[in-house]
Amino acid sequence: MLTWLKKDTFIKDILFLLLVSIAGSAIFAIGFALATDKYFAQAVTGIMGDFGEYDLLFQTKEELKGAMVRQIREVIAEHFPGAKLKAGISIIGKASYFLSLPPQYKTKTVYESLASYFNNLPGNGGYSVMTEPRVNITSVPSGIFNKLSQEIEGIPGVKFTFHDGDSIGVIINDIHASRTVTSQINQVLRRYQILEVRLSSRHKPEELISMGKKVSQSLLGINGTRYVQDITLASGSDDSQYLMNTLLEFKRFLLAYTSQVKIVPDFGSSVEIGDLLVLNGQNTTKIKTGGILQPLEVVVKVNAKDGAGIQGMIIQGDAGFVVDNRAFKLLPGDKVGAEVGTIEVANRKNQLVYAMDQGVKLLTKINSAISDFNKSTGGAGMTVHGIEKSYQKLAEVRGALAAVSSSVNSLSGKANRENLARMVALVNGAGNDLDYLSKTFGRVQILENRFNQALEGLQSTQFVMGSSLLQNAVGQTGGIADKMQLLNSQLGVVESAVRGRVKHLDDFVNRFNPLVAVLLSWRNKAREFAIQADNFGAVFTPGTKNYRDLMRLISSTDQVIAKITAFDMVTVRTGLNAISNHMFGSDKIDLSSLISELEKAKDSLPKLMDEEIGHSVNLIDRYAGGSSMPGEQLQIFTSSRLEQSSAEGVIRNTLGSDQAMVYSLPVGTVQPDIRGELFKILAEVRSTIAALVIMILWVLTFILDQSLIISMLKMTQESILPQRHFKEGSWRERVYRILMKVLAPANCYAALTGGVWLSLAFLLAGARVPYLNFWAIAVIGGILGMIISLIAEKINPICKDEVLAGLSLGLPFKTIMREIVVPAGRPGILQFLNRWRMVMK
Amino acid sequence: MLKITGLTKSYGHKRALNGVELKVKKAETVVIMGPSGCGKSTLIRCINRLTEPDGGSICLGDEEITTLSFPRLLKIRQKIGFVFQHFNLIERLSTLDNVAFALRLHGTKPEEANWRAEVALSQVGLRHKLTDKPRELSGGEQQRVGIARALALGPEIMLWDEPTASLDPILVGEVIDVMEELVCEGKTTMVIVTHELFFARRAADRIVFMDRGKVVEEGPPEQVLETPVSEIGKKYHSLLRR
Repeated sequence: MLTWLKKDTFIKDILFLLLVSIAGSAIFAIGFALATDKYFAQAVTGIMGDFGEYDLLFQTKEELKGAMVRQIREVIAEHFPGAKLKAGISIIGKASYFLSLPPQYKTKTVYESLASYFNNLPGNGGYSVMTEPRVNITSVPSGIFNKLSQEIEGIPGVKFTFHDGDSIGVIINDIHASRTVTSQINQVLRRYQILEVRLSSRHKPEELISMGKKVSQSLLGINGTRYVQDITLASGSDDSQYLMNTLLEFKRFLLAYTSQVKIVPDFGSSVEIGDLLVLNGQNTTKIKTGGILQPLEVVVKVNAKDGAGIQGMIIQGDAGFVVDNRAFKLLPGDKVGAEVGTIEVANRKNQLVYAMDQGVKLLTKINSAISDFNKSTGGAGMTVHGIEKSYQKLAEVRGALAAVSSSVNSLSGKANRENLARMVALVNGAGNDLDYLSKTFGRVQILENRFNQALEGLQSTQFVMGSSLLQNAVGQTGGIADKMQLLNSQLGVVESAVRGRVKHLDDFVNRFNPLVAVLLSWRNKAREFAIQADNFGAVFTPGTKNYRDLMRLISSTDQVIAKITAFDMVTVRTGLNAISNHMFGSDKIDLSSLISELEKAKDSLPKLMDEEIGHSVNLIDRYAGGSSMPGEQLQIFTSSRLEQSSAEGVIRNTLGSDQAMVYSLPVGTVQPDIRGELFKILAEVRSTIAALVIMILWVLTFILDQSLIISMLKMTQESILPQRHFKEGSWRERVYRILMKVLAPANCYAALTGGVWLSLAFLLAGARVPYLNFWAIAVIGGILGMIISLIAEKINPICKDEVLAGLSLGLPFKTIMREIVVPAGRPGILQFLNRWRMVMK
Repeated sequence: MLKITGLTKSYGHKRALNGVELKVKKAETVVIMGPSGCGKSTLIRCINRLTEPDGGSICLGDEEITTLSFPRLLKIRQKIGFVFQHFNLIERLSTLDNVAFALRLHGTKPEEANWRAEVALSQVGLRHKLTDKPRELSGGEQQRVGIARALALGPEIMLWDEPTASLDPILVGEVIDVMEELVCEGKTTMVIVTHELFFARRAADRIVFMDRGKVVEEGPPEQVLETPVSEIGKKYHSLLRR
């Protein structure tokens, strides 16, 4: 080896040429790339400022930059005095401005509020946070923002975190801590994972909520997992989740509230989900096939087709407008198609309002009925008292009548005037009392009738309240339905309690009715007698009419007194006490408040047309669909300890579906800041530029230098190649020729040199071509070398005559190359280096 | 001096030399003639292995040329002067440098090499053209430079491959004159391939006729040109009679 090294051969010249050309090209490429890199780096610094110089970047349309700047300055004056605003460069019609915040404003509160300070910038202008040093964590699901932020803020070196779109921005105290902080952030992120459950079919947002909850609960404890959170519909903070839930509940109410349309297609007609049907509404001319849809016609969209039939939702007009049940298909372009069937409309809104109206009326009747009932019990008590008082009066009248009778002069037949006067006065008094008694009892009877009516009302109200029609109209749960159910149950209590008491009242009336009638009959007779006695004097000669009337009155009075005496007052009083007992539950039920609540509920019902309800439902679906996954997947946030394989089995079990696929995703990705990214890109640009320069230098080197060597090799290789003779035209001869051509020394040299040169130059210069590694570059170099070999003699022709002359003069190969071939070749590194080797300069 | 035995050479399937037998004595001038494509140039280039023969033997003195190692061959070539049909001068070098070229590269000191080159150029009558470049010379002058270059090394044998074929008739004369002078000197063995019949008749010790890669007739000029036995000889004979 050493002997060879000491020898003076042209091979050493070639090796030296390779060394110089590769090294020189690499150095040149590095220098060129560095110069370009420096230029672009300066441009970047000019665009972005020095490290940490600016905090916010604003961009807007060029023509609106003045307005934006004014608005920003106003904000600065109000909220960030001392902040500096600087104009950046304009690119593609967009102006940019940089804002530096004073240190006291670089706080979490400020950064979290930036959106509120800088919203609605003119020209849809926006801002980006540029504060450095900073680490961005991107692709963080919004539902876990707060949790991650809290953990990251606990890392030493982190100043604070803030929400930046769908990223978490982490402001670091010091650039030197950046690497450590980034590493620790990665550790935090690695502690968790997002399990994405891909479902086999679409689900409504409300279904996703319940499925997410079920799945989350089922995963607790698996592989020791203690933290699981469903973040499927968490499009923002907890507030958004609440809004979502509220919207979904409201949607459910609206769907229950809107009119139900059931479609019955004609024989031979086909109605599918998504079809539009048009019905006669308030339009003046009736719908005809071939006509155009009118604004006052009612349009129904078919939204369900299952075992229960074909259902639809009104999307134009209202159920109250529908005048007949014929349905026509609505074709694209608002053209009316053929009649397809009939429809049945259940106008739930109206049903609900009617039920509430009826409820209010009936409750009011009940309320007054109960009040009346109370009055009636008082009246009944007064009736009993009246009869007792009447008994006393009657007894006095009896005594007065007896006195009159005993005071009659047997001769004249005249009664004692004083006795008579007293008797008349007593009869009149008793008559007045009985009048009052009659009225009182009459009121009791009236009240009893009304209460019976109220009782009937109670029954019918209960019937309506408890009917499935009304229940379905208001839905299964919800404030109104709850009130309806409560009311219904309370009415039931009232009704059963009242029924028992009404019976008592009936008994009372029935008992007292005959007695009162008797008393009233006695009163009439007694009054007649008193008038008679008072007017014409009292001659009660036995056998006379007066005497007979007197006797009759005395007898009648005795009968009435006997009847009163026989009346079971004790029982009646007991019954009245029972009636008077207000503990039948009505005091537990504040019917007045209930009536008031029902009226408020009726007033609070949405005053929406069906088309407005349909539109609102669609909007809610769009919002819910837009803020969640597309209805086909769940996202579960949990510890990374939970193995995907374990989770998958549990989840499939919980959902009852083998089709559900579970994937584990990271909770976020740490991204370097823009400056880092830009400089990374610049580095790649630098390496690509170096690669381009190397390629150019390769071409130059091979055209100017290597082609000469290759040409020489081609000229002399015939003497090197083994001569084999095969039969002319035979396949062996053809194969041999091809092999000799391909594997000729010149080709081999060219391929080898080309590959080695290019790959080494790339390696030294740090050049890189996207998607191509070292070996690929070597292969490309070899292929290019072969191409150069094919055209070497055209690029760098050799004067064969001169070479022959040199050979004939006994000159060795190296001398021929140095003295004849190279000096006559293209000017290049080879020729330059050869000058030091030449004898005949 | 030179002995060629059973020399063969093929280019692909074309047989250029088909067992050539030739002997050349020392200081002899042998002229090889024949129709185009008969193998004359191939034969002469095989002698110093500018063309590698396929088979046969070439002995120059005691050296078997065909089996020599390459370094040894180079040494032997220094003893063989070669004059090409197309002059084969080095375009970038002056007349003097062209002639001194080989001397300098073989280690001769510049002064001596230049002196010897000048002597050689004097021999061919071009001493006044020392600094001219080949493109500044006429064809005849270039060929004379070529002759001087071959002579400068002091060869034992000179091989001439149709030295006048590229020259117009006017310039042929000056080269022929140089050749005749050299022949007359009688110091150098010469093997000349030429179509110059009259030169051959005047200068050759022996004429060799070749046809289809073989020597078909050889002998003194008066023999082969006056009473040829080969077809080629007869043709040349008829040319002379014209």
